[in-house]
Amino acid sequence: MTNNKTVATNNAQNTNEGKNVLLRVDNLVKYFPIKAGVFKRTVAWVKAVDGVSFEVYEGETVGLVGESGCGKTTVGMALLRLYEPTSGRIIVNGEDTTHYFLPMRKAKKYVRSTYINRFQKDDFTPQDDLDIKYYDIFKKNGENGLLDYLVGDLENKRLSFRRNIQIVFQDPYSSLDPRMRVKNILAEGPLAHKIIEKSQAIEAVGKGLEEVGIHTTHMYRFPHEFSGGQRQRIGIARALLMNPKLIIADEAVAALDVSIRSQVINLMMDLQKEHNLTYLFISHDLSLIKYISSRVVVMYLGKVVETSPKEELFETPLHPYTKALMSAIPVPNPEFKKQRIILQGDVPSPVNPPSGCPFHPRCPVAKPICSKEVPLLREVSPDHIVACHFPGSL
Amino acid sequence: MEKNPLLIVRNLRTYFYTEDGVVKAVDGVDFEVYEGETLGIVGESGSGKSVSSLAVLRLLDPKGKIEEGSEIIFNGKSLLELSEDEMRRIRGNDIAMIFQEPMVALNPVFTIGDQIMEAILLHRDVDKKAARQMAIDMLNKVGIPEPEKRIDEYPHELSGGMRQRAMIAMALSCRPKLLIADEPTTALDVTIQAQILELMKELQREYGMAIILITHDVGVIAENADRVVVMYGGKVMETSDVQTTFKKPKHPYTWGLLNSIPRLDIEQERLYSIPGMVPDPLHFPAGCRFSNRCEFGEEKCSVEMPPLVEIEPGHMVRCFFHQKVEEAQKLSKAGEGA
Repeated sequence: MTNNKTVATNNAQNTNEGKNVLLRVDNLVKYFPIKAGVFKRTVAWVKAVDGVSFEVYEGETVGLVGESGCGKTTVGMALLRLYEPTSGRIIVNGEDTTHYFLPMRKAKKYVRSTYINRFQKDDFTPQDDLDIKYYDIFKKNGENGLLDYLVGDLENKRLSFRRNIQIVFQDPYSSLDPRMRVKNILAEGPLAHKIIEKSQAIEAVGKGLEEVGIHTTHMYRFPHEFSGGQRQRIGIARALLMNPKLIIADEAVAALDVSIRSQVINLMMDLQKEHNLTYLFISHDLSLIKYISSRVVVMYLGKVVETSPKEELFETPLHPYTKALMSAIPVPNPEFKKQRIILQGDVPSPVNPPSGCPFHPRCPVAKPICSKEVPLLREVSPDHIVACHFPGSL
Repeated sequence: MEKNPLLIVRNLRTYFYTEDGVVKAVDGVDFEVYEGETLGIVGESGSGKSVSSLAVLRLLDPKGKIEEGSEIIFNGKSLLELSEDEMRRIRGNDIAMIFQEPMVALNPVFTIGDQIMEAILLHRDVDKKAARQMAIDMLNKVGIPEPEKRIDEYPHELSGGMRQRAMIAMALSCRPKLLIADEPTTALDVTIQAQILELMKELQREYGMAIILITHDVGVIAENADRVVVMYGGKVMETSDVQTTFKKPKHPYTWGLLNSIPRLDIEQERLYSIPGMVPDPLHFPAGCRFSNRCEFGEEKCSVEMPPLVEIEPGHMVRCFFHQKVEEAQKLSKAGEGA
């Protein structure tokens, strides 16, 4: 895992040039405890996310794709701190935000163990841009100065984090409060964050609804009066009204009918252009990911197996899993001939992931080394990173 | 393929009498299934695709009624005239069904062995020991490892893919002539979906059964069906062989549907989207059910229901202006070329 981290950070430096990294996820880990017995002792851990690293540049759409249980939703939830990550860093706009939602004592402890303790060592060498930046502050203002910079005014930092990152959920039926009118659902966030005054609420909500193609007069209705597609539009309007930089869309169109799905996808792409939004699009649907994203992160069993710009990924997938996943997608063209790779068996349980490469029990080209050594993420060609001992062999 | 219709459905109408009014879930549906073929029925929620297939097995809930004048003929027998006893002899024996959610369709308090054996004991004249052996053979056939052990497991002990395999084993244990598969892979991951669809194809080849494959995923239809029925608002909008459906769709709905899905095989600038909403089955628009969302529609469409006409052998379309779709298709092809 430690090796994994250095590879990812090195890579971050390579590809940073010219583009602003809005979000950097560094070796994110989230384990859930399994409790049993009278005393609710923890007997095992579900390793939902086990060392995930990737970047999202400003203005792009990153597709996070994987099958159920691969941890893609947990990544989204951990980013928003709806789950507190077990370890790893979440860096937004060049600032470490990992400790933002911890109690003060824990936040300070995090800053000390992540930065200050390392900075105080004689043989300290910066690992990435963040180290350089924080080390500067540390040198100038000392330990307390850095602490103040990172944990001072935490309440405001939290608010601005929430404003900048919004989420659209999968199920438009359970993500809107059934007892609130659309107007109140949409105005709640902006009012709490003082983006708008109470007197402006109706106007702002009306504008938000118009942008997602819902009639302004419908703001006095309740969620149940809308269809699934309309509700999803309301969910998008709710995120949009916060004026966010990044929207995490977790299977945002999966619950919709096919003919409605393309309406919502097109709407999201139009809004992206208009508002210069950045999307992290979480989905199991590789065809959709191909259509909507500029870069793709493929996950399997809590780990990133491949990251690449879209065109390259679909032309030359290097990880056997990516390739198998692509071949498994049914193509609506009876004349389209493709290589069929049928994977054997099921996705293993994240409680007891296989040794070595998590994919080796199902991999058609696995060799003895695959069950022993965890393959590290390697940059095979510019910006194309893969975790496989034998990339491109399938 | 032999041209022997195994199942003929004529003017099938199933109405649900609810407190809010009559829901015409299926409103005059015609199709046939030939021996050994796979008929794909594709449609969105509320199109009546599932209800049609449940009606074939007469498994509708009490509020639903198959209306007078509907005809379902299986193997020369009219299923709607059979007594409940006779019908029970057909269900699970000649016609079997697998459902979307194997966890819901399987009984959680019986082992999968018990549930497979139940069908065998009911329809075949064998003792328990022989039935158990047949069940083990079936589990082996559907690719469940260690079937002697797995047969005594409960549904919750199996993964989603394995459960669906167990369902298939159960459905095929009596070698049905027709298998109705209602969204058999919708709840599964794509790599598991590929396994299950492959398995169904293999077993179809081996047993020579016909399959009705109901799904909303046109990709699954393209790769697995021989002929396609496109349903919308309780009506059949278009029927043809699978090549024609995807190469030369003639109904505006089929055309719109195919253009609105993201695809792996081609580059797409912008997805087409069908305007409006999926209609509420309590309030279908007058005239053609698709008229309020149709780009090619004219006044006539919102007054009169177009008939289902055969424009080429085996290609039926329910649209007054299907030539317009042809033109639009040519235009978009030309656009791609330029």
